[in-house]
Amino acid sequence: MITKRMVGIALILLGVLIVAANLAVDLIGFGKWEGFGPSQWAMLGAGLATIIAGAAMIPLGDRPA
Amino acid sequence: MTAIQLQRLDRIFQSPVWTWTGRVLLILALTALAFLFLVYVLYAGALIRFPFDYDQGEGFELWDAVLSSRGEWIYRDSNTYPFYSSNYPPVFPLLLVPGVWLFGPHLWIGRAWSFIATLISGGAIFWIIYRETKDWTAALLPASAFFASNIVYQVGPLFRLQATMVMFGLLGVAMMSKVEEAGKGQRYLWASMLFLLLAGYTKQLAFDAVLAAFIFLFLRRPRQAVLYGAGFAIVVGLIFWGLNSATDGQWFINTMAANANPFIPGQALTFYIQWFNLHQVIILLAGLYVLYTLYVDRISVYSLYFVLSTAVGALSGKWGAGPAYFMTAIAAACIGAGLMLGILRRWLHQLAEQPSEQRRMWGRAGLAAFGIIVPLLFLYQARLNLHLPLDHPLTRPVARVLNLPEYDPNRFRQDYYDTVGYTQLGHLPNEEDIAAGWRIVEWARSTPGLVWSEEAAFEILAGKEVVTNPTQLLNLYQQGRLDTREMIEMINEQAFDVVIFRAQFYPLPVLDAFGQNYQIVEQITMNGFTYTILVPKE
Repeated sequence: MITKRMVGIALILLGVLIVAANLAVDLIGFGKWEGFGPSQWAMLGAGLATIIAGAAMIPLGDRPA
Repeated sequence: MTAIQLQRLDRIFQSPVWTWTGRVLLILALTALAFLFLVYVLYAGALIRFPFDYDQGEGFELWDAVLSSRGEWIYRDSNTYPFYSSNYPPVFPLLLVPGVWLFGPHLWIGRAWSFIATLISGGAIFWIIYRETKDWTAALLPASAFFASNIVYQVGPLFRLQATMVMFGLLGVAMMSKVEEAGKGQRYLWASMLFLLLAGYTKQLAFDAVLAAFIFLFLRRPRQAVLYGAGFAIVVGLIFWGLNSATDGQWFINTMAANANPFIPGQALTFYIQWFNLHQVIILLAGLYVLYTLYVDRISVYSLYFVLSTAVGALSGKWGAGPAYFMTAIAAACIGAGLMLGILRRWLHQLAEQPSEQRRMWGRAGLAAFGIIVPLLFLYQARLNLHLPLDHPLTRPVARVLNLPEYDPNRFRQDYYDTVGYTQLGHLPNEEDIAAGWRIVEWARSTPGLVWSEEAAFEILAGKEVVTNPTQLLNLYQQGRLDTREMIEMINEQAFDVVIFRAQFYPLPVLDAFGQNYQIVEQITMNGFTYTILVPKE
């Protein structure tokens, strides 16, 4: 059975991936903005929100997802 | 709070004033949404009567249906005459083949179909919410808000495949929601996969519905999800391979490779902001529903559908994409909003039936407030989405009552108001537009020879073969997949007796060749755009 905790962990991993990909964009040098552009801030926000949403699910434990 | 204070408050909240105020507001909200539905019907009717391309690409969708009706592939080598290929999967044109056989090649066939597809989607939204909540206002308000949406309005009745894709995807998700139903679950699962397959092979963007459905299945029945998901992927792959083999690789080049356009993050962000601003009420309610299913109840397929379709809206940043990419997210938001309203009202009813006097009072107070706040929210939603022609007899009086300005320099057409602001879609084409279109068709008919037209309907109505699919040529050219030599050779030889341009979305060398060999003879304004007629230079 897939539990709320499992989904929470998956969301945290997804959020970390989004944040990492967002930061990697600057490392590769894609995009016209120096530093963080507005779209990157939006993506960072989405990534952090995903991490927070996932973290908040972990205390729900073994309840079925 | 003392017992007397509680009783006083309770008498206030049980006053019929609240109930009647709520009913009046509900009638107003439904009237506002019904008016926007009327505007939608007027627009669809006007488009069905308009014989020419209204939005770029409609004529090419019709040509795909014509080619399909002849038993010909629509995925072709764009390097050779007639330099034409489709860039979309085959389900939509195949669905319209019977219409072409029966009525001939006309744009109204696809527009009528798309309009019906949106009606089915709206009906499905109502049915999904009502089936879960048994609350007709929770179902009717968001279902009506779907048709009120500026984006659904503008794109819904076009000869484009968006509405069909949304319909199939929505039905696929709805079927998957019933997969645990005793005795019928297996049938719902098969029905879901069929609709999802149709959605995906209508437009590639439908992967949000496919993901939502299979993630939901994985959450409820992991082994079945892996098994059926693998099977689904195999079927998708076999069809993909079959199409690619039968078309010598043109299927992949034209539907996958050519669609990998440059991504403009700022464009996506702009469309996200616009989408949110236009649909604040349903989005926020749907967001609440997602939170509810994450933390209070079980995750539903509809919350996954909303989240994933919203995420896929990011693809609106692709060159050539537009707000239509949010149509699925709008449908999903309507469903989530309605389900949340049902949950809230049910909770308030349960509170109103608690043993505790105080809880019952708060429950009744909550229901009274709910009855007023919800219609007000949807009145606000309707105002956010306001759009109407300013000179139609049925809408002109409303425009006057609402004191809408007759002139705005930011409008594309002065006879149409839309809270979106500048939009090339949504206005009603008029008799002048139709006359201008026939004037352009006359140019195409004026020669027995070849015609090159940026919009396909002129060629089709003149009985000519469609030459080129401009944005597809541009996509292929930008990716280094287009050999323009034969095209330019024909242009240099003045092989085309008449050329019809609008936006001139062609590779630069092609435009250069036209510039050297052709001359402008007339410019005709139709539907707010200027069409340029060229003939060979002497």
